[in-house]
Amino acid sequence: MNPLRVKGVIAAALLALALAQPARAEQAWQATFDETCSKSNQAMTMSVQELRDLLATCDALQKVIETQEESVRKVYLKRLSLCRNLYAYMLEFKQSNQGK
Amino acid sequence: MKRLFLVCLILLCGAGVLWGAGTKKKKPLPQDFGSVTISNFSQQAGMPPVVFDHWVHRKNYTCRLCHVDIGFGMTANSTQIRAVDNSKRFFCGVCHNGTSTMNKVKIFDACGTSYTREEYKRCVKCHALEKDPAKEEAFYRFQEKMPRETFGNGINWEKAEETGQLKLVDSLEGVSFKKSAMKVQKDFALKGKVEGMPDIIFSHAKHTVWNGCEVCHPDIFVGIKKGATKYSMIDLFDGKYCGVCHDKVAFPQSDCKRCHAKPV
Repeated sequence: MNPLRVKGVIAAALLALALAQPARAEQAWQATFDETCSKSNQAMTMSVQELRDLLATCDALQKVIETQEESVRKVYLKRLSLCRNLYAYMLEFKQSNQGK
Repeated sequence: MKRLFLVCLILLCGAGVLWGAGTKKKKPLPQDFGSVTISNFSQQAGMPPVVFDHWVHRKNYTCRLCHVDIGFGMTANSTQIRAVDNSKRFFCGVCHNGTSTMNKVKIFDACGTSYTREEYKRCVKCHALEKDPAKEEAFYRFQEKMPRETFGNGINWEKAEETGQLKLVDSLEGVSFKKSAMKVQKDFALKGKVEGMPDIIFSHAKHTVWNGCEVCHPDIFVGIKKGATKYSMIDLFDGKYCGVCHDKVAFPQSDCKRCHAKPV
């Protein structure tokens, strides 16, 4: 194979990878967001540990969302705060009941 | 002297009445009940503020869809919506994208970076300069098909939903995530504070149909222990707790019997 052509193919592959990675990273946090916040309907039946885990995921997600562009940041931080606050609320409720 | 005193007294009373009339909160007309004026950036961009009509939207969508899945705040101007957000298909642009449909009718596109004189007609559908008689007529056409109520929009939205006259969309592809069915909490009674006033029956079932959990908890109802938060009608009329929605969008709190419903 022509060495120039090989270099071209490698460069194209690297470029494609570089372009694909942010998109993949974005998909990853969005998938985590969906997975985490879609459980809000079951918050009432979750254990203390499950709620703590979800809160930890929410906090990690917040850091990633804060690095996104303004529109995405605004929408997803609001949505995240709604589900995070509900989990925190339920955790407080469960912990106060445990203490009784 | 007596005559002068009398004239002064009449003028003073007249001024008092006029002042009182000016400050009294006006009851909105049925078509205007639930209207919200949004004015964060419009005027800077040379556009009139947006007048958002809740009735136009709540006849098709649940509160939850917009206030949870799309991310609209619960008070006017709190969301800080920009035209560019709508153009990127967030907020209003989620549905107002020129391709989505509702009841087989295409939903008009929201906001653009530039617009022609012809397209400006589309802008003023939301950036309302003045009252639109066509919208008013559309409201009354819609209202006459709905179960009636004395207050607010004059529509019993709850009954309309129960009887299937309204079929509300609660999720949008690409925006909402799949959720399992919610385990609904039981109704409970709250003791009325005024002698002879029936107790309040609070129905979680009725509220979660429209709102889900996270619209109310913990942002509006923060207390975790039943009975710990003392609700007063003064707080409620001041826009706290139930007053976040009731009086503004949901039926007004002056419709006492809708909440104070426990038979005495």
